Amino acid sequence: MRNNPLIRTLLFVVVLLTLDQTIGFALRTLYNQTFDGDVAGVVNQALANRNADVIVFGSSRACHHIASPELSKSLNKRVFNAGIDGYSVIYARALQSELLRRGTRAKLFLLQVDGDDLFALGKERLALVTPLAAKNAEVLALLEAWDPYVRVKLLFATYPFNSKVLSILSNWRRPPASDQWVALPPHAGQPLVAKAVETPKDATTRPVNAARVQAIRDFIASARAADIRVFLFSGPRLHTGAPTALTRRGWELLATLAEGEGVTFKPLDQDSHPEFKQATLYRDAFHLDGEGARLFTSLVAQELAKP
Amino acid sequence: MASVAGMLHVPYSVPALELLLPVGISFYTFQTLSYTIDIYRGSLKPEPHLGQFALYVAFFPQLVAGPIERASRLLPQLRQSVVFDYARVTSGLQLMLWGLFKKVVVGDRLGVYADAVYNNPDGQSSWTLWVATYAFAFQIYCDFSGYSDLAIGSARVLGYDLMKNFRQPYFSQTITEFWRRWHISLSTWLRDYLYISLGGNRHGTLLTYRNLMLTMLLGGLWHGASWNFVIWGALQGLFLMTSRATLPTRDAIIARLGLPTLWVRLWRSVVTFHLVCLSWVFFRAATLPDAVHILRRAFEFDGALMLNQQTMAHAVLGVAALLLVETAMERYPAAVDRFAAAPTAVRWGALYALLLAVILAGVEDSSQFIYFQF
Repeated sequence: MRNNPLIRTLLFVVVLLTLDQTIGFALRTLYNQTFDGDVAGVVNQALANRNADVIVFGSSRACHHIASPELSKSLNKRVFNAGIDGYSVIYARALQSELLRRGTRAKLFLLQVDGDDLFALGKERLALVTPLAAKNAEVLALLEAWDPYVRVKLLFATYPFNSKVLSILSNWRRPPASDQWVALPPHAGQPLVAKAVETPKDATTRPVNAARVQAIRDFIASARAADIRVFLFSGPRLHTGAPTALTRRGWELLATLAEGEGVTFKPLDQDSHPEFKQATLYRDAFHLDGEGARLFTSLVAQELAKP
Repeated sequence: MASVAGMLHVPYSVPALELLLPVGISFYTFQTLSYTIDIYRGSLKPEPHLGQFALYVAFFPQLVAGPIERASRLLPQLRQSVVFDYARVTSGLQLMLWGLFKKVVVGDRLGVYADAVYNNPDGQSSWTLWVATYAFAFQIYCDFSGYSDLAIGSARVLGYDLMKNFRQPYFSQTITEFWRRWHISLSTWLRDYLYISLGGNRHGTLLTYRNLMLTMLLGGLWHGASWNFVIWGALQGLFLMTSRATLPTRDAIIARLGLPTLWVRLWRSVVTFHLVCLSWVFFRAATLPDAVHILRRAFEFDGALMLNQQTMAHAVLGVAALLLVETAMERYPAAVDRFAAAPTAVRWGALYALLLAVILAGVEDSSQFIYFQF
């Protein structure tokens, strides 16, 4: 009986599923108690931090560019920066959906979107919000749009914690950092030099990433339904000459979208603020360093203060 | 041309044909070439059955990224009928699981870091560039040997044996040995159909060096029409020539110094690994100016190491697991057989650990295999 290949295979699968359910349950318990670290912590902290008046959403160009302590001081409000490296507006929409589902006191959402983001190709990064899919149908739908097999994968209890184990173990029960903003260090080595940005060959013809545009619309609509103001912004990049045709197309699209939805969109770049032509404000061509971020944050605060 | 123009700050772009090429074209071109050459040389009889020949050329496990199989090995297997063998199937599945682990847990995790640095080399510190280069060295090994394991494993499940494509190459003590252990199906192809056809080592030292260089240059070009690959190939040729020329002198010095064998082996492995890493810079960098910048910057030895602790912790654990298994395979060739004969609890425990590692630590949004582009 034990040497029957079919029975051995069945037994192997049963033990595997039992192990998966047991380890998955343990990881979910630990995950729910983790509020620090840039993998598990940011999402849980954002969801648990119900006292924040202002929440910042976006990619590395939000999480490193918006100096939350500075913005908090300028606005005299509690600010939480939920931006994360490499994650787009789809992540922002998923996080916002769960935040609204659980309830938030926030009265202002800042959403960072770059012009080029609306034409991005390739797969979205959504791993951080996978643990939320079990209870949030909107998050599950967002995941499913990018991975048609996600429901099958979610049958494994361990799957939502893919790439999070070390972060959970190292940050479990650690008190969250009071300041989520991580200032990037200044550029290292040879001085940074502004270069012309190469315009993609298909800059005028590349189709719009409809999923991202829809995510922005849904973000604004959901915020409006919860009586929360939305401010869309885009940050500077270090380059010579004008922004690429693709970036400009994106800004025009965002401006039209924002106008239609009754919210504000502000591209704060070298054109509007020539001080961002200084290479010394940057960590690299795409990211401001700490000093640059403080300047950028003060400009965002000025924009927010406008009626 | 575009790379050279870029280095000279001349705005020039080479008009490209922008043709859509079928995936794996380099692999099955070499495979069919070897078939044709073997028939020309009289070492193989033409295959009369079109279906068998088509299956040889398009055998799915190795179609897109090798191993580049010889007709003399694969065609006779395709003619035989296959019966179900539980031990063979489980052995194939286990090899596939090991390949998947190498690819998604170790290789892709290292790739996250290597890609982040190599896609934006400006402003990176020296140490960051060193670590990213080491990361790429293991990434490409895990990616490519992982694919080979998947190909060999899936063929084994179906009842066919494909040739081994990697034998712990980073343990090599010379570049010559490295090429006996790295992408074996390509290096033996180049040896049998190019190097030996050019004369091999039969016509004196100078012609041997010329043949080595030409072989490796063409090996570089096989990867793509780019100066980076040409320089990568040229470096391999140069290393092979230097290794060959200096080996007797190095052996004599070591014998005179009376250094312990273990230290000598370790030192040689470290030097060989670093020479390989040096050439990987050209292989991975997006452009020739990027590669030059990375090398120049790497040897300035300054700046802080930019490191995502979680990614690197995953990577270090993955590489440690990899080295543990590969060292066992290197030092104890019977380790695989011993594992197959181990108690069920041990074997299943190891398999569960690998499966859960793939689910929990594999890079979910991983890219395709690096060698799919060739």
